[in-house]
Amino acid sequence: MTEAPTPAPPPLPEAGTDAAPVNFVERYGLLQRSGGVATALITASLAFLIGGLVVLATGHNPLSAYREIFNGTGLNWLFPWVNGTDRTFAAMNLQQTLLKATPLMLTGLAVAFAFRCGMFNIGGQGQYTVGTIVGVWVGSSWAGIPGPAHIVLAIVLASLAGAFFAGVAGLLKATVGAHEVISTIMLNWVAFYVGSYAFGLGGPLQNSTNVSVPISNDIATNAHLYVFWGDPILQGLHIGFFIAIGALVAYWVVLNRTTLGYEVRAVGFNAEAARYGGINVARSYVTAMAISGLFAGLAGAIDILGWQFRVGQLDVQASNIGFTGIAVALLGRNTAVGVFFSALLFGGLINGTSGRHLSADVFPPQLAGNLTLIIQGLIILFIGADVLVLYLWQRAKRLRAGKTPGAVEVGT
Amino acid sequence: MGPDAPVVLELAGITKRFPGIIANDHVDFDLRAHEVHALLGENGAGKSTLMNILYGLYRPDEGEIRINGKLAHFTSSKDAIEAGIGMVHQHFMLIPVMTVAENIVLAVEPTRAGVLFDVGAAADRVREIAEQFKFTIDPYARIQNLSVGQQQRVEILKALYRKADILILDEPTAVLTPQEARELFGILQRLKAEGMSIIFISHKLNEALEIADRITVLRRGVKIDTIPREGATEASLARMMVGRDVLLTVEKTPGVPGKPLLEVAGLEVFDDRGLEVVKGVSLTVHAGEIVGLAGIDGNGQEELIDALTGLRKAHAGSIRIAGEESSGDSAREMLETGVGHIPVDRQRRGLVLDFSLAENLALRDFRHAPNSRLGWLFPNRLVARARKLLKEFDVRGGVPQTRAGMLSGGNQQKVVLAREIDRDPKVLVAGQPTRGLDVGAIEFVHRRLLSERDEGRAILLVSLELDEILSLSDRILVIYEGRIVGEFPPTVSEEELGLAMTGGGRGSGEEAA
Amino acid sequence: MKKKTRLLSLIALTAIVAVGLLAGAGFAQNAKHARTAATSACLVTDIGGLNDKSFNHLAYVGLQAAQSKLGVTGRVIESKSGSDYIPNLLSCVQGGADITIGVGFLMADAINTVAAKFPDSKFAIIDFPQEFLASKPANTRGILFREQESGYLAGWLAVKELVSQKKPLVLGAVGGLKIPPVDHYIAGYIAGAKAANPKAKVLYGYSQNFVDQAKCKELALGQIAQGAQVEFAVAGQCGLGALDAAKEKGGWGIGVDADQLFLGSHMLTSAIKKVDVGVFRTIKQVKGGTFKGYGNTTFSVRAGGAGIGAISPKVPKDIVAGEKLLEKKIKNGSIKSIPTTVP
Repeated sequence: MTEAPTPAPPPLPEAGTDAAPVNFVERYGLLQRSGGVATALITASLAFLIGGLVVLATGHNPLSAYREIFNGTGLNWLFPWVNGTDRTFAAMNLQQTLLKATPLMLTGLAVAFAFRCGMFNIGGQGQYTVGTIVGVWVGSSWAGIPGPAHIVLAIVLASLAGAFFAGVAGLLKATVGAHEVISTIMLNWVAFYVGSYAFGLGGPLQNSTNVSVPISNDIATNAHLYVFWGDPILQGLHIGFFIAIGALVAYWVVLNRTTLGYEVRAVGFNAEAARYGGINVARSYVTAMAISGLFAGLAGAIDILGWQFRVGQLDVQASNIGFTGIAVALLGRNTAVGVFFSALLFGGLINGTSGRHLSADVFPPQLAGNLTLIIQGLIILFIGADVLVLYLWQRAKRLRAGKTPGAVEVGT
Repeated sequence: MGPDAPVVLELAGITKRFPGIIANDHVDFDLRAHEVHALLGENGAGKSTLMNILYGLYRPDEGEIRINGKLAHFTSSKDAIEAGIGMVHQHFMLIPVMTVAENIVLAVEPTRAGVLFDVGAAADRVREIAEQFKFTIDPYARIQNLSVGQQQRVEILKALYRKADILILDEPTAVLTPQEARELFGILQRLKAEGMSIIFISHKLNEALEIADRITVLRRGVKIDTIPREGATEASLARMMVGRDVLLTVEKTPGVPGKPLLEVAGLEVFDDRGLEVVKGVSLTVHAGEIVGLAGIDGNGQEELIDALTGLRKAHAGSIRIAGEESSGDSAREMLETGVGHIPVDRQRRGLVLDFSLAENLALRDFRHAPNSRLGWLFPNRLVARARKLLKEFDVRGGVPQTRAGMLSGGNQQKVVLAREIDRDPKVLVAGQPTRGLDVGAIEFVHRRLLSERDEGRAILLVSLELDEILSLSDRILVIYEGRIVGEFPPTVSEEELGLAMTGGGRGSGEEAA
Repeated sequence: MKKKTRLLSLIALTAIVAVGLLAGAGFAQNAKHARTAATSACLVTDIGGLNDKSFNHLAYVGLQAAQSKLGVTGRVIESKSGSDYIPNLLSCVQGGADITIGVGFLMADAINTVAAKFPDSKFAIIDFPQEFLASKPANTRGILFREQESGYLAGWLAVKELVSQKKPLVLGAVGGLKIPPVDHYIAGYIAGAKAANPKAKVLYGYSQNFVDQAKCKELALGQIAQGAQVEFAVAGQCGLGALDAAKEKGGWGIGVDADQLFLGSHMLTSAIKKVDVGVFRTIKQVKGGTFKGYGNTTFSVRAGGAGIGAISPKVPKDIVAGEKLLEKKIKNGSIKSIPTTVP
């Protein structure tokens, strides 16, 4: 060997396994691998516990508050001993819980799918909004065509609109490298203002008979989704619920049983290895974002066809279904089953903490709604912090058993 | 130094159990003043566990540590540092944007002096230490502007700054070029002369023989023996490490070259910064032939590999695979044409560590039957195929459902090898196929490459290890600054190759083509 | 690790189930809102919520007044999203409310649906004309306000004050959404300003928002840069940003819906609509048996349902007196046909 001027070789990190995860997606991936279902349950339990302490601090009884919340979700319908009018109320409450959980499953999937491709889709809200806009537009036009065809048309076009809208963010990432977090947030505002304009006074989709109200036309009656449980007039549970369940199944199948899903997951885990495997990474970004948007757009469509039947300017502005979907996906660990249960949890939480269930002597109405926000916030906080919890947990374990955090190889 | 030098450190009966495995089983180890003591063993033998116990990162289940005869209880690395132990990890713990002096000082007093420490004084002290041990390092240089070898020196300086008199180096040469390794050995000799005691962890036999005074071999958590360097040979060490006789250089029959399968002409490739780093390379690899591409790292090898495998667009020139013009093809097209690729970095490129072995084994052909049909994937078939390949390639430590990240480096490489060979490629581009592997795994890879050659594949072996190039290649090309500067038969001497690799060879680009 | 994980999940699961059972078991004793002989009123807010310091809040104030002065039983339910409207209204009806009041035009469709479904119950909706409800339910009454009268008074007062201060006669108004109640205010404001001095100029715009203060502030700052001396905020919480802009730039602010003089010395007055009065009187009608569906009750200055709030003490006495005179003129009908649409 000769002495030679040594060109500096690039550093060669040998172990990708124990290199510190650098971004949120990676950190979260680590969490997903190591925590299992326990962390999700602990996260939710801790949030409820601390929420209870907050209730206690306001001088109210957390147990009776939680009892009312539980009954408000309608889950007591599952108890065989609940009968009579209680059972009727429970059924109605459960319908509302499931009605709220339905779009959350879909917007949760929208976030989860992008996540699996290594992207953070913050734009579920915008994609949902675009879905509602197109859904209400199609649903309220062409009143002549037969119901089922009208429904399918509205759902398909709204989903495609969501897909297109999210696909833009994917395309920007694939072509010019614009970070999807930034572009989806900006697209949220585009949807916000398009919706505000479309349904605002004088807007193109504003009610044609009632010109002084910033609200859309009603969708055709025969384009309403069939209500299979509860009163069809009074916002009973519509078959969109099964569409959402179908989407959960489709999500699982696409990810685990198709080459497309294989590509998406490969890119999500290791884009460089995916490229090496002959996968077109840029195209995967676009596809994954589009599929994400498809789910969110679908959520918008079935909300419109299922119970909303019209959109107001303020509905567009006040909706946070897409944002809640982020929490749903995070708590559900981006799996189909997880998203299902966490959507139920959030749906139940939102419905159960509604003021109509908390009688004023248990909890003052001004505070009731905030309790939902507190618990939601705590759950999100703990999801963010459970990487920390996990770290501490493993650290404690390491001191006992002698294992490094994140190490997967035992010794070398 | 000598058998009568005082023992500064003693590990007695160290036992460490992890769930399902005993990483260290009653290991005894001692270190004398002024010696370099090599700790040798295959990957997974328990070397790092033992040293992490010594450095306070793990607590032993049994056994004790004595420093200068006194019993020591370490609960964290801080205790170990206070006891005069310094450790240079494989992965440096340096902050790239800060200067050498800042890194060194911050490491000592991260909280108390964080704001107020005196950079000037620190730099003086760093310079002083560096001069004492004849390092050349600028205390004000930023880490990000230093080479890996220089960064390693900063890590050593960090330990010296903290007044360590026992230095642990964990696989220090794994990240170095041969030249840098040589310089490191010089530094270690000087440290020893100045009174340091050094533990040198390695799985490379020749390094242990070159630098160590005594060598301790671990195998599967058990200490096999501690022997002086005198009288030890690579073969005897390898036998101790692996537990059987190992062929350190595979026996090779001369290849029988057939028709040309890989023909490259006038290839020019740019790197990420847009600089031309492959400057008109022409080469041919025939069926049944291994062509070794020797060169110091960073002379265009990686970009050349990328271009040959479709991962990087060539700026000019042509690539023909089995006579078919393939320049400008995408990675996928190259795959389909029959180019196999063992990437230099198996963890970042070769494997999806979060995928199961079955999924990883399908990474290159998941699109084809029987793995999938019309976009439908058949996981059961992936698993069945994986089961067969794992057996054939003797991958240990995992079933098809195991995450690739759970395997040791050697077994990961076997997975890559299995995948690339099972595709039956015409051309196989192998980038440093034994990097970071221990002797047993190296032997496996080398044998397999030769048998694939005999199957009639054209293999381009790109390696920084001259031993590897010399023992496997039928022809050797030397790349220097993006040009092929010479062609040699496998009988060439290391010296001659080394000269060519530094641009001083007899050859020129023309005669290589 | 695996074992530990399982154990922890088991504990967590047990805890959740235990809480669930406890809650379920307690259901039987959970007394639903008991029906009493007293008249009961139920109020459902829109998504603005009770803490909007504006009409949801005022409606609640009216309900509380009815509880204490009329001895009725009151209940209020906040809506968090559009999907809450029907269940909330339903909850009122099924809880046996004698009158169910929806606050805000957003509730129109839900009221329409529920009122049609329960023809024997009574309903009222604030800020939405009954005849615009799709099925024109006969058991429902619209509660409307002449916001234009309040706006007229505020605009007149603002210009008079600017005249006395010898400042340029430029006024600003920041609306939330361009919806009828908002435009009523602004149209009246413009008319009042012109009535005080025909040379007065009014700049106005819409923030497209009722919540985000930054948006209204931005809009107001733009108007102030064009010379506006007064900022009339007609945008709920968002409007507070516009008032803030006026404060920063040394201009006047005019509040909306509720009396907002407490916001500071930069406040000139507030154009108010007394939703509390509307709610109180409606409940009183129900109690007294005089409530009639099908039609609207319009609360004007004359009816004590509109007007302006407290006036800044900095305003000269003669101007305050002039305002009182103007109020009388509106009451007795000598000022009429104040425009309700913005040009």
